[in-house]
Amino acid sequence: MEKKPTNGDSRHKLLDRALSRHQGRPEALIEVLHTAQDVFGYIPRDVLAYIAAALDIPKSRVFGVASYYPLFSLTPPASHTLTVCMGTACYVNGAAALLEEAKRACGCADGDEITEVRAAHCLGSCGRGPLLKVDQRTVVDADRDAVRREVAAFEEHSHDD
Amino acid sequence: MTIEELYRIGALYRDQLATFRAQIQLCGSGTCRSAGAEELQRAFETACEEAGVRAEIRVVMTGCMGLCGSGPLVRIEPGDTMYVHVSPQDAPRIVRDHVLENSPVTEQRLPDDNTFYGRQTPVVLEHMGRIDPESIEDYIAHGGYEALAKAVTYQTPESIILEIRHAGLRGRGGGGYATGLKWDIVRRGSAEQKYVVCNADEGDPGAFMDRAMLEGNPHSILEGMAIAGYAVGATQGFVSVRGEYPLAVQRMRRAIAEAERKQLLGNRIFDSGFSFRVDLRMGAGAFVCGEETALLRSIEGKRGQPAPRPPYPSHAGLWEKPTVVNNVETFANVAPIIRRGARWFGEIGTARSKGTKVFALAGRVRNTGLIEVPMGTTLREVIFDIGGGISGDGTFKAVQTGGPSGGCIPEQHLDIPVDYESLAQAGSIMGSGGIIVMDNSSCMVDIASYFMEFCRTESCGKCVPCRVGTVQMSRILERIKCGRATEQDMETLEELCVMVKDTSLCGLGQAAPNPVISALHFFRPEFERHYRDHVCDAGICRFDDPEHGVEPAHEKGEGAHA
Repeated sequence: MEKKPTNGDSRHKLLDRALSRHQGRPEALIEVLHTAQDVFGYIPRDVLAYIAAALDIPKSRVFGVASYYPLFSLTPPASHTLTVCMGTACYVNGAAALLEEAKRACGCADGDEITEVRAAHCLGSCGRGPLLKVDQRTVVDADRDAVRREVAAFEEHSHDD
Repeated sequence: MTIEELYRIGALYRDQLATFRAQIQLCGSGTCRSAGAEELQRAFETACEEAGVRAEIRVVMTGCMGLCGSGPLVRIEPGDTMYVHVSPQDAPRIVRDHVLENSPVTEQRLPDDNTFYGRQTPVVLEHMGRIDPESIEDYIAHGGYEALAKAVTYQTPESIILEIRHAGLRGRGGGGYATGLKWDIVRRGSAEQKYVVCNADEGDPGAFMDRAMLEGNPHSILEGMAIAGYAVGATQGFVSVRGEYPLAVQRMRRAIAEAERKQLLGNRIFDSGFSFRVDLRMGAGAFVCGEETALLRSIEGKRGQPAPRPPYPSHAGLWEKPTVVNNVETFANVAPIIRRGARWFGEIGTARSKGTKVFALAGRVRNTGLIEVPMGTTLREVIFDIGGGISGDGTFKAVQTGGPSGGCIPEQHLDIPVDYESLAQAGSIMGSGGIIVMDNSSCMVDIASYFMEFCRTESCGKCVPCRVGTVQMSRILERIKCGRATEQDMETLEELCVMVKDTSLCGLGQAAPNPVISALHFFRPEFERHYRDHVCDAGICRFDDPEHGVEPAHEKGEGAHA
């Protein structure tokens, strides 16, 4: 058995619970990866190896699956994520301008360490677009001002830290 | 659980509801939650408390009420009165004037004769936005699980399939394949183990029907799946829910657990010999997993890449076993058909497209939201009557149906009836039900490029035409957008449309050129103005911006416009 990754904290307990719930069945791989993504915020390499051993599948396959699906991340997340929905309804209501504004306001082209700017394919609240997702919170009827407000709030927050 | 017990649970719950003096129903869809529904719920609870009537009034969070653009939405029962754009400050007044004094507040009240609800025919959405999606009793009180009881107690699998075939139900995920026929193939399969899969991996941008149904009435989907399981001889079902919909995942998980607790899923359902379990699988963000063979691979815990068909999943699906794969809305139609009969269902809709269709209406339209209309309703009725026309001061330009696999339909085709065949004839597809209205602020070259870019990033890379073709098409469209395209590019683009469509492995690639083909068909002059005159009438495309140039080697010369 692969040794437990990093320090044995409560997050590993959650992962182990998911593994035992699925009784180590290989077809549960994606479900287990979801749990790992949830509890760690991303899927660290040693966790990938640990899952591979627990489900008795080659590490290469675990990596293949984890890297295939966009919702799984193999690198640590930024402290904040600003997601601009680029679904069709949001797009025809001017989402592209919001994305530009988000990138400009965060002072980055492809995201920096504090705030990551992402474009989502559709968040499914199309009736109230354009949508903005600030970490886990969704802002409806967003405009450039909303983007600037949210980014300013991040910055204020990071000064407080 | 017996049928008698089921009726008893329903009656008991209805009695409980009858003890309330009134109900304040709040739309609890993801959208209205984001618009402040939870805060609103607390405001109504407080208002009731302060008025000293907390115990007499039921304040309940329901599923999607439909009129998303005007949320948060509130309905007061009895009376079926709806309020739009309700804020916490409005709660005390609505409680005092309407609930207690019975004189509805005029401001924010949705007129009873509004065309949004007045023109709809709710079948699968009948109870949505009225019942508590987190209470199985509420579903049972509204006739829930009676169809399953009836099916497993009094009907044979063959007679159920016959009923579904007579009803004329066709797949609501966009394919339009006859559901009864599909079930029959699986039923005839000789394998011991068979599966039922609900495709809830809704990925089309601009579509949120599945999300709303999963969040708003999850038991109606489970009931349909269980009936399908009985009809085809499957004992295991899977619901594969899009990972981006956490509330839908949570509600569906809860619904499965509640149904198991009530023995409506599990062993020997209604004391029959039929056992059926459902597991939830969460998608992980790959659009191609909406394609059924890719979806099945992802349920097996593998990379969700499509496989050539045949064999179809009805012959060799999940773990090579015969598998029914249907969309959320298809399953939601099953219980109503079994309960009310094929004849009733067949009376709704057109000759070849029976029943209703749920659409997600969004974009540049006044009333955005979730709607359900009989098949055969015209796009004009959908957009201008139900949708209330174009929002703001723009003029109608096109309506997009079918997402990245569909196309844009211009004004002159707005009177076509919405059914599988007519939409295909107009160069689009029914798709899963996203309807995006566009006005003159949208550039059709830009929209074509938008969808191609979408398909390019979502291509799984397994087959060459899709992996490489979408990149090439995307590049050409980018060049047209910034005025660097040539006549040759236009020819290549059209050749690629045919090639990618004809030779791609799965539906994603085969349909990827559709938005371009339809844009070229209906809006060719717009493309010509872009690459010949460097003019974008919508003002979206920029012709002198070096950032947007794709290949700097292609200088555009003296014809540049600002």
